[in-house]
Amino acid sequence: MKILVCVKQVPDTESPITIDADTTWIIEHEYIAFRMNLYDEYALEEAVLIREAIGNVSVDAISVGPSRVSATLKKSLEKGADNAIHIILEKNAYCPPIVVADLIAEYARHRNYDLIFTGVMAEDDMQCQVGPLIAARLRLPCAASIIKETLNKEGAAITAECELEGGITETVILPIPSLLTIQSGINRPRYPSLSNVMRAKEQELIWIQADSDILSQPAERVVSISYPEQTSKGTIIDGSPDQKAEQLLAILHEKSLL
Amino acid sequence: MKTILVIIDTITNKPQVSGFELISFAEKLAENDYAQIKVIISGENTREAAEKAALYGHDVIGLEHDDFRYPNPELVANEITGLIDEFHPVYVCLQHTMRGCQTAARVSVTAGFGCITAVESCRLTDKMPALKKSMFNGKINVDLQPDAMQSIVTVLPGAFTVPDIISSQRIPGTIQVRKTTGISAYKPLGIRESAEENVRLEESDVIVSAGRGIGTRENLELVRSVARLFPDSAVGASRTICDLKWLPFAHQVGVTGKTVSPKLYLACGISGAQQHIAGMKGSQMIVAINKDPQAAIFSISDYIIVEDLTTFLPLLIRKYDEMNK
Repeated sequence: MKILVCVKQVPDTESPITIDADTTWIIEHEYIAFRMNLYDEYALEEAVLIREAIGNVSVDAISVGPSRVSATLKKSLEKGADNAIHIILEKNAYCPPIVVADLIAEYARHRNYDLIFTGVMAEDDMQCQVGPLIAARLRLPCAASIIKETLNKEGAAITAECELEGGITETVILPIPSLLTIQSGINRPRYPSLSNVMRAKEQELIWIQADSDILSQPAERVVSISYPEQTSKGTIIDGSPDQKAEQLLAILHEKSLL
Repeated sequence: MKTILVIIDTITNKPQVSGFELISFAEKLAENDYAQIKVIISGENTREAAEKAALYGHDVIGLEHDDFRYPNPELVANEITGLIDEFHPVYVCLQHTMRGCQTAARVSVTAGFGCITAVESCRLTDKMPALKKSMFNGKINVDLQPDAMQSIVTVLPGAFTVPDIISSQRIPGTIQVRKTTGISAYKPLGIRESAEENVRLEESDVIVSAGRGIGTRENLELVRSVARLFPDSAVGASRTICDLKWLPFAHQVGVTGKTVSPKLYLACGISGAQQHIAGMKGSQMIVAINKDPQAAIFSISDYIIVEDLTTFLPLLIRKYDEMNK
């Protein structure tokens, strides 16, 4: 069985973000710490768990982006991926999800993956698109926001639980091959093992240049980028803890909440 | 005349009320172009949901299929592709839920439309609307424009309000129910609600919510105790708390949980990740307690308390008891 896991490298949520002088995009300065998208960690772990459960499974990690993305692909190897593919796209600008999806779909198209996993969304843009777009391009069935999956015995179908919202889940059965987008909480991503860290150090990534036709397709564009209005309506409640507690209770009482 | 499609799905024939927020969004888009809006509702039996939707003043088409008893994003996508051929809409609007995004993506590819997601507001220009979304955990706003005259759009729940049908007098729209015969490889077998007692997040006046900053599972008891001070309250949670299995997902507030707008949202130890803020920023009053003075939640809070929850919450409860002796 072959599983492809799509991973994205995102800025850490604590990193400061600055708009560039032309106000076209953000500056990639050295204060941004990059790491693997949280939801993709769960996706990768789920693939590795399948390999551990049934054996004879290869797990490929793939990512689209500039050279810094190779660090996240190395991390994928450390976390148990067998191979890592880097589709190199050096542009520092808004990248439409359809472009990322088409690049990955082009790679996956004739490689007969049984399952493709993506995280349910990327933390930096919350678009929730790349997974379902890849599925549509490759004409694969897709289920989103999976919190549990079970392969049936022959490996011809997969039963998945999709999270709808607020504690409601839907059970769905999909044929294989198919694509699942993975939600957090499905498993506990492991720390890299020493042997995988050593292997990742030596192992080469597979590098592919992004297809220029795919890059130049029409897609939505950024017309402006700005910082949110500082609403700063926030009042800091000051003083000793006792005083803060008293002030809060007074405010709540005044608003007829308490 | 131009057409805008609004897509609302149902769970066992009941629409999520927040789905009707899309109508407000579509009406905003329609302002420039005098477009007509068609509301599309999918379900096993759509008559009741369609009648409710028609009250908002636009024509409704109910799509019926056995496989629509439970949400079926792939089948909805197939049906929308047919409706696009029929109506040639300029915009197709869906909610930015995980399944709404899945449907949007599939339609985007099959119909050849672009897709803009998680829209929070729109600005009409003489050419095309500029659709605003947040990126990088709310640190920047981006205005996007479609590359063509048509686009799929997903709208963040809570960004628009359900139209007020009482004060704005609207003539109910017509209803057309259609039985559809589509097939999709996605087969919903059933749904399961959590066995949790009724959490009532959306109806509560006050939500006291726990985030990673509460530290330990045991400290949830402090959050529950604070919630009990209020006559009509519920305990909420960030996704992290639910992923840790400290509280069931029925308590989750956020873009993949519930969107709430209570009179008071008391955020305890919540850092303010974009996915969480999206679910509660419409709250009437937001009080945040966090020991990190730079927590992102403070930027949307009405009142800011920089304190350690484990000492402050018991103090708050003690003070309340003293004041009420």
